[in-house]
Amino acid sequence: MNTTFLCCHYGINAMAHTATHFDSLEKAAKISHRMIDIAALAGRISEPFSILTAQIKDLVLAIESTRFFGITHQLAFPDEKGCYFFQENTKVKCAERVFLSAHTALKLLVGADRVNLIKLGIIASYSIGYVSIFRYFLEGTILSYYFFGNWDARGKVSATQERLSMAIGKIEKWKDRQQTSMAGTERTHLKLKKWEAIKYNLNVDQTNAWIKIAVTLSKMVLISSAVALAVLNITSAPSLLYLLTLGTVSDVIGLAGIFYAEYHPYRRIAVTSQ
Amino acid sequence: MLPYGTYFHCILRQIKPFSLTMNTQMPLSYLPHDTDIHKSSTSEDCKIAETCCDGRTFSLLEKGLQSSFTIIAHVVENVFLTLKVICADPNSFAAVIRKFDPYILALVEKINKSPGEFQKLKSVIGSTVSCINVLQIAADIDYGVQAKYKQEGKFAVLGRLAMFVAHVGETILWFSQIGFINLKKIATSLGNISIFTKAIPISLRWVTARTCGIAYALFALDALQRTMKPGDIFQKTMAKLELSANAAEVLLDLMLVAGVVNVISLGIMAGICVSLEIGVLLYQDKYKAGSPVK
Repeated sequence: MNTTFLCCHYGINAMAHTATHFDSLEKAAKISHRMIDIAALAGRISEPFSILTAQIKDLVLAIESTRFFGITHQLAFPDEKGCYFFQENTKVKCAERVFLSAHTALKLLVGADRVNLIKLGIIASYSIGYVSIFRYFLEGTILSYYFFGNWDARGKVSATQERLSMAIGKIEKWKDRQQTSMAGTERTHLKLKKWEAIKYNLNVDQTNAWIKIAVTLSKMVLISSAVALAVLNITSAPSLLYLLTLGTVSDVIGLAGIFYAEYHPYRRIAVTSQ
Repeated sequence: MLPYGTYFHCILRQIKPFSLTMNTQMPLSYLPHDTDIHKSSTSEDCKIAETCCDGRTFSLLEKGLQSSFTIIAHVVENVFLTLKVICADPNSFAAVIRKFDPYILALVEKINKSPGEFQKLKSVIGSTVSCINVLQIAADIDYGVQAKYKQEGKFAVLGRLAMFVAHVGETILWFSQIGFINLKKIATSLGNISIFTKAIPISLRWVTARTCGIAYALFALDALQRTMKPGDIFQKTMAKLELSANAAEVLLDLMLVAGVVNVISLGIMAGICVSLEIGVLLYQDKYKAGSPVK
């Protein structure tokens, strides 16, 4: 197929995916407004772009404020099978989700304050250094979320590596058998297919985990830098450029991770062990 | 699954020994007259009866509190579930919040007698819906490219086409509002049409809104067609819910065409549309089955 047509096809497909998934929409919106902000730092941008970036920031605010309900529902209430989140996941994953829930609750408050539904008042105004106590809580919860996310992803990488080496060994074994014996070729072929599918799935898992490590690390650096610069009241153009660039890079990696998971779905293992 | 009452039960079990000791210190006059305790003669019997009665009272109290706790937990869960379903994807989120900006918030402002109270919220809703509309165009093109229309009826496909036109129109209007393009007179006036001797000014905004109304009418026809087709109970109920939601949207559009400008009636109608839309989303979430998504 024509490369241009393929690019257009994937582009439209990616945009359609963004239109139906909040995660990718949030990341795409953040990338867009940060790019416009970088352009504004580099030189003057026209009035329509300033309005556009303000409107995209409104979209991000709406998404961040409403994430609380989905995350808290998943954490606090049983799923379709009747199991709670903490029953099905590791302690690290639960800690990660608790901090995310706390962060989204605070973001909901921020959102409600921005649209004048509530007044945060003294909580938002009382500050240490140049940063309000509320912002410390806000950044502290998200930092903890990324810390536990990183821990969880590292655990996944090491667990996957062990299983991957086992799968590679099995593939080698069945390949040898396929080459040496003619008897039971059908069974050998099926076994080989099964272990190749397992290997593919483990590779997808491992790539996803590595992407998560990269995202969480970049986010942790970004948040720490943003808080440090805010505490020291450094608002120079290079520092802002650094924050915007780092934010854009981390969101691009995150978005790439979402699309990777979308376009590399798990290969179904149709072959059962015999 | 752990029932909600179980949590409360566990907590109550922990405090029960303490409350029993406390209650045995109570004077007998505090207890109801028909309890066995008043018929007892010896002090030993009295003590046993007191404990039994206390146990019964405690059990009743426990049951009452447990059921209250269960009801509260269910209410909270359903509220969270509803909000989760609305915020599950941009499509449904935009479908619900787009009614808030011109109608429902205006009604609340009217009731509160505080015009402009939700100005900032309206602006955020407007921006969110506009941004999602742009991406909806891509989703509509993808619907055509992936040939998803093959699985749907002709009314649904036509409705989708009308919705695509409406999305394009809304995006053009948004770009004009931001200042990217200049529509000049098209945005404000294209001319007039007369309906029953009443002249209606036509603009791009008017055309876009009516195209959206036509799309809802086509979706309603598709849902009506599906209610008459043989299918399981889920498909039938889903079709009926979608029919009522789309019919409400058409009614709201007809009210606008007829020139109803009353904030209260438009607000109530928009509220009904939102409730039905949420009903569709909740039913869809509960049974997780495929149905034509607007």
